[in-house]
Amino acid sequence: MTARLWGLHTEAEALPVLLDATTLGASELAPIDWPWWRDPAVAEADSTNVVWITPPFVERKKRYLPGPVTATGPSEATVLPTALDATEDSGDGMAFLEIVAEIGDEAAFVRAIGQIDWLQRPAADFVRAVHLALAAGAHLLARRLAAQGAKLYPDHREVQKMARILAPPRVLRTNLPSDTSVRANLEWLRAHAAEFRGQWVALKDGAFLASAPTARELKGQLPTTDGLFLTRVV
Amino acid sequence: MDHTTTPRIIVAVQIGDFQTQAAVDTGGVYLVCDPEIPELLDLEQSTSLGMDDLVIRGYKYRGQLYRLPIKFPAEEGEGFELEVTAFIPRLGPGQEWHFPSFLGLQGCLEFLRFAVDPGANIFYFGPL
Repeated sequence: MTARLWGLHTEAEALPVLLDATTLGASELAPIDWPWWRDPAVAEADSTNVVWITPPFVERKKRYLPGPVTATGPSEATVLPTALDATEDSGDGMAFLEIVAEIGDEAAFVRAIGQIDWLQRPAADFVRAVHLALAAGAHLLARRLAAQGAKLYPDHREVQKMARILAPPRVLRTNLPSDTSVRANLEWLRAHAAEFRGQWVALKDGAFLASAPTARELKGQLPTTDGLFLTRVV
Repeated sequence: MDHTTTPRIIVAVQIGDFQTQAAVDTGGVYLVCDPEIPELLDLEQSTSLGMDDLVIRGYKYRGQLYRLPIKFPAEEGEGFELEVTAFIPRLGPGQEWHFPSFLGLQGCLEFLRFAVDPGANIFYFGPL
């Protein structure tokens, strides 16, 4: 029970949006007709670091390349994706979700999701929002969205599949017999890790069987993988 | 790079018909598999979502989410089997993988009671 609670707290808080306006390409020129969900008034100006997210100012820039991700915060250099432009938002908030998901701002994403009336949304929006939630790192929210979509659209295959894959773990069996080879295999790895670093190894009952640079090559050396211990040595 | 210079909680798990090792990661999510695990598994029968991104140890990886059964074998007492959410990275050009598989909290360990005795090097576990 405690473990489940640990997973809840990060998405339960609605935090102010902390973004650097310069990274959003903000200018002082364009007048804005704010839809209600992006109205600056909805954010609380409780910190000098708060800068409003201003999607209408978004310029097309290079895509953020995969690589080391540093701590998020007001000064983090963020480049918005080429495929996104909040001026293309039809007013339903989905483009805004895409922007905050791409930035990887989980708190802003959770906040934006909470401002959408999901009871009025088609199944396709649930599918899109779940993928965006995963991209934003809001994994618990992705699960909840999928579950809500599955309730609303019981005949929609993709939504049902999402709900099933993201559902909480389910116990299938509880009475598996003990296995004395567990410790022997892990102890072999501890003793021989330096010799096989980066290699895939096959063990059985704590005894070495084979090694190879890749899992595919290792499998090719073995008549069967049934009951063996196979791992990359890291 | 994630060399083994820091202590890890490594446990044996069974995915498909073989056992492997995975590191307990209470700050992570899902069962994150080594990208080469699919070479050893028949995933054709498993349903997956489309490609999604997951940040693992500070690096963003694209991959697919599956629903997979995973067994926790016990040296003493009873082991058990869970159905969990599993992420299998698909490495892009130039991407490398220097990690073990991970047992994250949400989607995997969240329905597990567990405790660690570092002195005796024992991982105690049981279903909720």
